[in-house]
Amino acid sequence: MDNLKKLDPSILSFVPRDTYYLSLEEQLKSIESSWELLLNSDRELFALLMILPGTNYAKGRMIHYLTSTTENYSDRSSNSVRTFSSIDPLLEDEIIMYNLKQMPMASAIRALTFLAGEDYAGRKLKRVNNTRARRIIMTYIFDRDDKSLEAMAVKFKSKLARLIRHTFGNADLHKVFSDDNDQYRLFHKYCRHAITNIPFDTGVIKTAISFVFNKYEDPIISAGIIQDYEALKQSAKANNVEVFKSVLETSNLPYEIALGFRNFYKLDVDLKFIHEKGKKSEQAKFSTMESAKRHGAEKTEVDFTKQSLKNLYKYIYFKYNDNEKLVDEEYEKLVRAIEKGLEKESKLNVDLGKVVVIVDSSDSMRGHKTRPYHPIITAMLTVNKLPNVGTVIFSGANKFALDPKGNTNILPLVEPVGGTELWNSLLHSVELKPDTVIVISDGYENTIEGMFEHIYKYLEDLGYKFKLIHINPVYDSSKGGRHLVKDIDPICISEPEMFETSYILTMVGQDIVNVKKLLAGIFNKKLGGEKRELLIEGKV
Amino acid sequence: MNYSLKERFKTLQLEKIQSVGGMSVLPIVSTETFNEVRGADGFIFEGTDNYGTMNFKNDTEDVAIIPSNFMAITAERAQDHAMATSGFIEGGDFESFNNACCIQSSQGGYISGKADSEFNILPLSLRNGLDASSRFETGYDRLWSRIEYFNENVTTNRGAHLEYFFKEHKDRLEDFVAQFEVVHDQVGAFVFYGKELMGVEIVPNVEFWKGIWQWLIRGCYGAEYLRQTLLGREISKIGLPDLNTAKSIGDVVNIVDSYIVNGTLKLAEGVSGDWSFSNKPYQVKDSKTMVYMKGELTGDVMFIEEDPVYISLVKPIRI
Repeated sequence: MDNLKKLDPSILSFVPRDTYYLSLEEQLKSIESSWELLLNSDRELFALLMILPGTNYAKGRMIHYLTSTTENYSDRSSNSVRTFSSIDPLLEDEIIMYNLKQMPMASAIRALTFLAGEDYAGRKLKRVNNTRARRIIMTYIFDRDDKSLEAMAVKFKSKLARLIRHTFGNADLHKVFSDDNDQYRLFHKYCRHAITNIPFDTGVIKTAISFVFNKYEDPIISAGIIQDYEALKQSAKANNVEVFKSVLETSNLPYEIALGFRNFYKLDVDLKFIHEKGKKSEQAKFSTMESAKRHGAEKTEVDFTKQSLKNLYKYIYFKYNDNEKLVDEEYEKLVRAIEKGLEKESKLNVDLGKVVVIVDSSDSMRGHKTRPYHPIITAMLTVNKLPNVGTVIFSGANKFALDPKGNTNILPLVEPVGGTELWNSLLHSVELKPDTVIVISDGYENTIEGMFEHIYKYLEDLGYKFKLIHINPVYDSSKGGRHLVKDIDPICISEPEMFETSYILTMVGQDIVNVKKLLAGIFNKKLGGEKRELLIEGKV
Repeated sequence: MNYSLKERFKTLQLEKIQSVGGMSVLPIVSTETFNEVRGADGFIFEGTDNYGTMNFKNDTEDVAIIPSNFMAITAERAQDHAMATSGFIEGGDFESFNNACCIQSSQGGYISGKADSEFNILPLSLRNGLDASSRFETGYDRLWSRIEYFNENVTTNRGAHLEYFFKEHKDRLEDFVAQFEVVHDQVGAFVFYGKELMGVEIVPNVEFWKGIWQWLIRGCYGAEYLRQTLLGREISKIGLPDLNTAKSIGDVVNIVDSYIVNGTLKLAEGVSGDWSFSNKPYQVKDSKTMVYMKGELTGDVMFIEEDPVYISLVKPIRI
C-alpha cells in the first residue's frame, strides 16, 4: 500500500486542458498512470473515491477504467482492503450510475462516449463493449420518461447514434428498424435483458432510435419534439424563413437547435428572434443573457433563485468588472437569491473543529484574464461550504459598493485589491483560539515574501496548537499549487466541492481503512440506500 | 517648456514595499491622473514592414503612448522586434517607428500582426544598450551583440535570439510576475535590486499601469533579475524581522509592521530629493518626447503640453 501513501490530487479533479507548463498529452500520460496505479493497488478505493465530488472528465475516465477492466472486477484474491462484504459489483455499478446521473446530460453522454473509444480532440481510448458497459449505456439512455428521451434524442442526436451503434453493433442495429416481428422481438428481448424497468409498449424507444439514425420516413415518428425538430430542419433546408419562424414559435425546441440550423443553413433570421423564441433552461437563460442583450432581444427574465451561488457571484463580479451598476430591483432579487442559496448550502463532510478562515483578497486573487475573478469566487464559495466556521478574515479586501441605494453592502462579497499581507491575518486568527486555520490563497506573497511562513513557525515554536490548511484556488494539475509554508502542501481546488475530495485524498496515506469507512458513510448518505455492512478483510 | 518633473512628483505617493527574493517594488499611487492618455488599450501593434520598423495604430479618440522599449515576440515565422524609445500616437492615427531593433540575429520575415505576439519590455541590461546617444538612430542590428552576451550561460541555445531566454524561462518569469500585485490607484513604481534603485516607471493613469505592469515586471525587471541570479550574482534580500523580543501577539504585529514601514522608508529615501532639472534634456525628438538623464538614470519622458505624463528611466547594470 506504500504507493497509496500520497495520492495524486488530480485523480478526481483533472481537467483536460493545455496549461502553461505542460501539453495536454503530457498531462494525460501522468494522470493516466495515477489512475492505473490506484486501480491496480486498490480497486475498491478507486470506486469508493468516485462518490466524492470531481470533474466530469475525471469521473468519465474512471468509469471507463472500471468497465474496461472486468478481469479484476470480481477478483476476490486481490490485495485490496475490502470494506464491503459481498456487494462489490453492485457497489461499482451503483457508483457509476450515481455519477452519470449527477452530471449534466451533455457530460454524461460524453463520459459514455469514452466507452465507445472517443476521447477529446480525436484522441482514442480503448473501446469497451462488454455486457456491463452495454447495460450502463442503455440504462442511462433509455431509463427515463418519454419526454426526456425525446428531448435527449433531439439535443444529442449524433452522439446518441454513435453510442447506440456502439452498444448494439451494426449487426443488431437493423433489428430495431425491422418490420419483421420476430426480429423486433429479439430487440425487445435484448433491451429487456439490459434494462429491466422500462416500459416498452409505447414505442418511444423505437421512435427515438429511428430518429437519431435519420429514419425520417418511418411512420412511427408522429408527434412531439422530434416531429417539431424535423419540421424545423426541413424548413431550414428549404430556406423557408416563414415556416422556420412559425415552427420555432409554436414548438418547445431548444434555442441551441434553432441557432444551429440558422447558422448551418445560413438562414436570414435575426438572432434576436432565436433568442426570444427558442426555449431556454434557467441555466441557458443565464449563460446567454449577455448575448441576448447584445442582439436586442427582449430582456430575459432570469429567475435568480434557480441559479447556483457560483452563477450569482459570477454575475455580480462581472458586472462590477464592466463598471455596470446593479439596478434596485435586480440588486434586491440578487440579495434574496443569495440568501436563499446560502440557506440551502450543504456543508462539506470534513471534521475540522472550530475553524477560522483567512481569505487572501489581494489583487492577484482576481485571477487571469481568461478566467477573471475565478480565484476569489472559488474562495467565497468555499467559505460557504466549510463547516463550523467561527470567523472569516478577508485579508486586503475592499468592500464592494454594489448597493444602488448606497446602503451597507449586505452581500458577502469583496473586491480583491492590493498587496498580500496574510501574516497579519494569521496573527489575528490565532487570538481566536481555533482548532483549524484555513487560509485560502493563491500562495503569492509579497509584503514581504516568506513573512507568512516566518510568523507560522514563530507561533509553532511558541506552542500555539492549531492545524493550518492552505487551500489554493489557483489550480494547475501539472504543477500543483504554490506553497505558503514549505512543509504544508496546499490543497488545490478548482471548485469548492473539491476541498472535501482533496482533503480526504490527503488522509488516504495515513489511514486507508478509516477513509473507506468515511467514504462508505458518504456513499450511504448520498445514495440513500440501506446501510452497507462494513467488513474489514485486509490489513493496511 | 519647463522640463521639471517636480510638479508631477508632488502629486504622487508611495505605498508599502512589495518584495520577492532580492527584487523590491515601491508602488507609486496617485489620484491626480491624466485619463485622456491610453496605453495597452489604445495602441495596436500592426507588425513590421521593414527590418527595424515597427508599425502601430490607434483606433481610439485619445492619444496613446507605446511604453519605452516595448518588444514583441511573434508566433509567426518573422523577425521579433523591440522599440528603441517610447512612442506617441494621436487618436485615430498610424505611426511607423524606423529606429526599432531586431532582436533575433538569424530570422527572416516581417510580422504581419495577424498572429499572436507576446509583448514585453526589453530586459534592463538591453535597455541600457540603447543609451541616450543611440536611441533615435537607426540600425536594426544594434542590439545583437548585447543580446548574445545577455544569453550567455543562461540559455541552452546560444546566439542573439532574445526569444531563447523568454521561452526557456517562461514558467519562472510567469511565476515571478504573479507575485507582484497592483495596489489601489497605482500609476507607477520604483524598482530595486537589493537596496539599489534600478528604475522608475510612472504612467498617466491607473488603467495604463494595469495594461503594462506585467510587461515591465516580467520583461524588463524580472527577466534581468532572473538572469542576474542565474549568473550567481548576489542581490541582497530584504530579509525577515527578528521576533524574539515580542512578548505578545500585539508585539509581533508591531514589530512586523514597523519592519515593513521602515523597509519602505529606507528605500523611499533613495528616491526622494529633487527630481527637477534645469539643464536641457539630452535630446528632443519632437515636442513631446525627450531623453532624460538624472544621475545614472536614463530613459524617456513624454510630455503633453507642459505635463510630464509618462516617465520611464533605468539605471545601468552589469550585463
